[in-house]
Amino acid sequence: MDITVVFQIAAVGILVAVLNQVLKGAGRDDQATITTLAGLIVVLFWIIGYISDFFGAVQNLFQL
Amino acid sequence: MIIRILGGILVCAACALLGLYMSHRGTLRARRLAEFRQTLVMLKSEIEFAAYPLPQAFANIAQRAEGDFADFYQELSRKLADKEMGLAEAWEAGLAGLEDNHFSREDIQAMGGLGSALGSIDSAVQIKAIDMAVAAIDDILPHLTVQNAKDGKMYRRLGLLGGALITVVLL
Repeated sequence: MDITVVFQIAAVGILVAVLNQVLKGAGRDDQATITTLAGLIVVLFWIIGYISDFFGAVQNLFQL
Repeated sequence: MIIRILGGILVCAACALLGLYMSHRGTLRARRLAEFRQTLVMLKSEIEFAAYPLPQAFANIAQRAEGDFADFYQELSRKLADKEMGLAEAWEAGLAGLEDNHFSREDIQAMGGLGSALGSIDSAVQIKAIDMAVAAIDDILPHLTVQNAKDGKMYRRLGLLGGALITVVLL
């Protein structure tokens, strides 16, 4: 697994958290929620391959 | 890698500039409304004190107003003098042209009724209509100033953070 993905996820997490605060501060709660969801979806797209590999590995390990 | 970093810097800079432009847009709208208010006050004095007919009053304002307001009043004066169309239609057409220039649809709607009221023969009705339009602008301006201060800060921050987010996602 490439370690840069971890740093990218951390960076997205920090930026989305700050964006969320800025939007909430401006009274735009709906857009803040949408931004958070968008960040979550982007990160899920990045890690979905790794999650799939993980479950494959668990299946192989326990011969399920 | 250098190209990626350069691209990232360019994306950040573009987003920051977009944020600055968005924050500046509200200020421009307030400035344009204040300028338009000024032309309405001029129009009122032209009707009330100088008692000029409307085409002449519009032409006089066109000489004193700045930028596209001068064109707006000049065009109104020409259309009325040539009897090309009625004042209400000419006014609405002129306002639609101003919409591209930082006026919001809400502003255009607030000023839209003024055209038909100005077409009235009675100068007292015309003056009352101008007073109402000026009062409408006076109502909008303080809210706009407060909103601009709040939104301007938000747009600048969003520009910077959005640029950083796009860069991180694309890198």
